[in-house]
Amino acid sequence: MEGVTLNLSYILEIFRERIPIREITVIGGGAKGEVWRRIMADVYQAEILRPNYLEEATSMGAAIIGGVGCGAFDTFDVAGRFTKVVDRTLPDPTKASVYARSAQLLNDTYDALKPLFARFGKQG
Amino acid sequence: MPPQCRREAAVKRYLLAHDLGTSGNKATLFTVDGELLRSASVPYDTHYFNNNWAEQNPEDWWRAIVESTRAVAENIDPGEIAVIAVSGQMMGCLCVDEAGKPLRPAILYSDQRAVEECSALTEAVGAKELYRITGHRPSASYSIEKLMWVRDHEPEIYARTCKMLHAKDFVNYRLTGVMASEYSDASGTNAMDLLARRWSGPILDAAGIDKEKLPNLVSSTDVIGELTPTAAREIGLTPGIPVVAGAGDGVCAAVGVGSVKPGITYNYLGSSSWIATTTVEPIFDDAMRTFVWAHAVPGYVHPCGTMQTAGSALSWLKNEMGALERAAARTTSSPDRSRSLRPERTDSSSSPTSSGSGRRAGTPTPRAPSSDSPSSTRGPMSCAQSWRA
Repeated sequence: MEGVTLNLSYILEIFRERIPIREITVIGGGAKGEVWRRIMADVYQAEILRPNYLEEATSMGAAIIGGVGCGAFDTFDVAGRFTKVVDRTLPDPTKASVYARSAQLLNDTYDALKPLFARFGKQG
Repeated sequence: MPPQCRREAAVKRYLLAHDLGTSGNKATLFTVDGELLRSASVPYDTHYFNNNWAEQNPEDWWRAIVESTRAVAENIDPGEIAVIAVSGQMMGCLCVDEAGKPLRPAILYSDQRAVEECSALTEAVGAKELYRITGHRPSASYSIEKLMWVRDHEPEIYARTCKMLHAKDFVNYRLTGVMASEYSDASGTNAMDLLARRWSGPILDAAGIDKEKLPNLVSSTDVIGELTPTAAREIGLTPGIPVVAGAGDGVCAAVGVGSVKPGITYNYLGSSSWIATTTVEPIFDDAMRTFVWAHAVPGYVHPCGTMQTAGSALSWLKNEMGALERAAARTTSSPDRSRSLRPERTDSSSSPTSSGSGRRAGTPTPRAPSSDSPSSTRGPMSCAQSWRA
């Protein structure tokens, strides 16, 4: 879980070079576990929001687009009617340096192993 | 839209949404107050062959639309449905003739046959330039490379192709008789100028693709037409219900999670995963690790980065190394927590050949709204591009 989250944090860092990101809504099956949400909060150093519906975002988005299109909604900003934030996990600032070190280590490990991946594949 | 139409829609009670995913279609009926009333999923097959080819039969999509609509609309007044909106799997390629009839099976985003076409396009345009124009690096995953493949390998089909459509565009055509697409799906073709929101002349020239074969582009919220009497009979509703252009599934998810204003960011963690946000200006990464969709919300774009193994990595760990724990869990008859991270079947990261798709539509089963039931149709956003090169 930490490995997955650290890998995802690189994407966040690319975005953060341009915009500040202080809170992140998490959906999908991985959002259910309290432990994983705690890891996300600490690795991302952002507040993690967990909505009640985790697998319905696509359908809700289509419904909202339809609602705006037919005039039932004046704005796209109506997701709050469809789903509610039921949990917030605050980041622990003391974990930032720990995970920053892990992230660097993971990246360097990946780069070091990358030339070997093709050879592993061939042996398969 | 005429004011009269607006007034009418505002008093109607229901919104009918379809999530035309990689493994099935899920119809969901919402009230205009945002309450999820019912949903019904109908699966369809994916045909995997030649190692990394993946196709679906568009008639299966339509059958899933018909059955799932009938299931959720049972015992409700169809006159109360304000609109139909379809979310669709992205980056595919479906060739249809003038009558909207599929000329061959749909080629899916996960299909990697168009490698040579991708190389040719990259050589002609340049990877960085293509990324700057479209917001995406060149890849065989995208639609235009697939259409190039059809042109080179099935020239008679290419010649007869009136339009290349995305999955939801085909369904919209069946519903309304109108052929169109919109910016979010078009931003997953490797052929749309992201900022200008039109087909890129330089890319189409380089690809050697006739612009006439690409659909007209409108906004996601544009009403492209109304439910025809024929379609209404098939799906069990009444004619005249407005149908909007809809959007690609990744962009629909953004709207559904509330990422409709700059800086609102979300993280999808399923078998695959991504982080995406909303901005006014595209975020271009020098190493092209992230990419950018056109947003359904006018004036915005939707930068995104994916990683293909997330929950699937955890599932692997659990299955390979957690045998004792699983056995213990069974004997103590605790609820099967592994369900929450069950890999979604047709994820592009999974081996296509192992994704047995023997499921066939039975009777769709409407289900009550649930806050945590895993969706049977929700493929990951159709992003085949992991940030790690």
